[in-house]
Amino acid sequence: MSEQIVTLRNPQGHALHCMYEAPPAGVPRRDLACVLLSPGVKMRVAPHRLYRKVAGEFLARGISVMRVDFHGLGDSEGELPEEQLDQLYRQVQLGRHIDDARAALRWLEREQGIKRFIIGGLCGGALTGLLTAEGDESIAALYAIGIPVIIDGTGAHESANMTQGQLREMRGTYLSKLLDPRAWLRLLSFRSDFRTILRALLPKARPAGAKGAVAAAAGVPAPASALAANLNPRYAPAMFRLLRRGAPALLIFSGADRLHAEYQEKFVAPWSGALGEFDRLLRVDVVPHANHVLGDPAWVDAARALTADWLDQRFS
Amino acid sequence: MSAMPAPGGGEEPFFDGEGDTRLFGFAHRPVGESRGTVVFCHAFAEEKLWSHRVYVTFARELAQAGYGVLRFDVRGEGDSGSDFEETTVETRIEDTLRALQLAQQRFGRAAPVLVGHRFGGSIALAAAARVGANVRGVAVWDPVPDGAEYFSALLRTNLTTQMAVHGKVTRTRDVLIKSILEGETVVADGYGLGPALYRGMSELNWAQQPEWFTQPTLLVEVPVAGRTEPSAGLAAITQTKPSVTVQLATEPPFWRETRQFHRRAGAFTAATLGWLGSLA
Repeated sequence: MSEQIVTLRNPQGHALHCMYEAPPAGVPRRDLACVLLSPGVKMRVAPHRLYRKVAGEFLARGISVMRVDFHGLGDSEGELPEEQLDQLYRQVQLGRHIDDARAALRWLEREQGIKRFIIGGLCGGALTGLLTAEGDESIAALYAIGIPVIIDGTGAHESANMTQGQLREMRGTYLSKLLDPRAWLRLLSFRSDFRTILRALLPKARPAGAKGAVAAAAGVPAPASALAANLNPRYAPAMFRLLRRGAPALLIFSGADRLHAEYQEKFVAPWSGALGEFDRLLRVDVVPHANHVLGDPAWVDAARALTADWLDQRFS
Repeated sequence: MSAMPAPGGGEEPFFDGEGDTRLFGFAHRPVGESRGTVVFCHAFAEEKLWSHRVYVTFARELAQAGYGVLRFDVRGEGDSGSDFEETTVETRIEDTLRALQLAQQRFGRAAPVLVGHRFGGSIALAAAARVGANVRGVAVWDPVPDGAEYFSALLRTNLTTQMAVHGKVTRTRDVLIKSILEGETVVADGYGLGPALYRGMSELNWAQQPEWFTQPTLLVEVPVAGRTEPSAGLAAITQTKPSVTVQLATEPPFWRETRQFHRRAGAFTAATLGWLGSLA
């Protein structure tokens, strides 16, 4: 373990406290670093220190790792004004922390002489990595665990934007409770979410996922179907731009996480034709049964194995 | 949104030691004339990560009020060394004693105050009992007076995972604890909970620690809805330990996932600052 505390400043002058780790002795250092960005409101270690666990796969291959605290989070300076998490997540999804990520890249260039980067992390860290890659050609690849394609804080009822996958799962849960007296008591006490129950049990009354217009965005192929109302408007442009310049991406999803169904139904489905030409660049893997944060050693091991395989294919 | 104190450039992250014994710490220098030193003991595992920004704000507010503050990650958590599964209650107490020494090296020899959150409060009390007058006092936010009960509550996420994977609970809490005592490591929230940790936590039962509470102690309790008096267990401590004060302070549970973004614990901070002032 040869980690170094790095305090750098973003363009707004906030001190960001990060951790930099070079490959261990005996492993030749390459001109490539992996930058792992704060997930959600958690800090540079990620839930149950996930970033420290996956970092080993990069380090073993000569790839330095930097774990970054965004401004207003972790130990860093700055304050985030939101009181509600969905509003905070929304700002992350719109690219609030791109400048923080860029500051880390420039530090690595200046202080370590590294010119190429793999960027990403878990959830909001992954998305910030994608949005940063859109405007930075030094980013050679995206490494994304549980990357969200939607935008939070739209104000719509939660059930309005549910995917077919989510509704199917909820339908199974509700049906399994038919013989449970406690479930009926709860229903009769009017504490249940009737809108969600109705949407789950009567899927044909209103198809899953509120739809927006079929909108054409600059640099994005025309979608084959109406887009989800809560699709992040920055996601598709950033992903297509990354792929068009030949940069590979590894997307790891968790089997028990709604984010995989959202990715499939809200991004892949409308652009399945256009995505076909990028098959060789875009790798998508699912860790069966896993929750969003990979909160079991077996799931972490699976993610590490996928990471190792991808790195060996792409960067050996 | 409340105005947050500016860090003012008086903050410094640091490592102490190397490898598995390494501690990560963060020192907040006092603004103006020093009024004392505070060492902060964080909550356990994922509760620590949810609470982290509250700790940072608290440390900055204390620094503005003239206190030198040292936050640190125990081994197995955050950026400190060792794997979580290798750590125990004893390593957490050792780390706290080390942090006390580090704080004195940075801020002067005067005995620091320990402030601990939830299980970190129990660790602070255990550490304080070992060093007597070398700790000026202990404040505990949202006390966890029964370590065994707390451990059992930690297993809840394991049950949730069982439900998600198998559609039902295949191993109850009692079965899980029996398995742990037989040597198995059970995972909750991504953290491996083993027998040494279970035994150590179970021993941290406040009612069975007569040697604790020798220093001035503040217990900041979150009242259950509608209650205006301390819980029976904490009230009983004040009956036999005159140095112990209990204050009720309402805070949202920022140590677990809620719909809010928590950056400050105003009620806990006010209670602690008032009590620190009374120690002078």
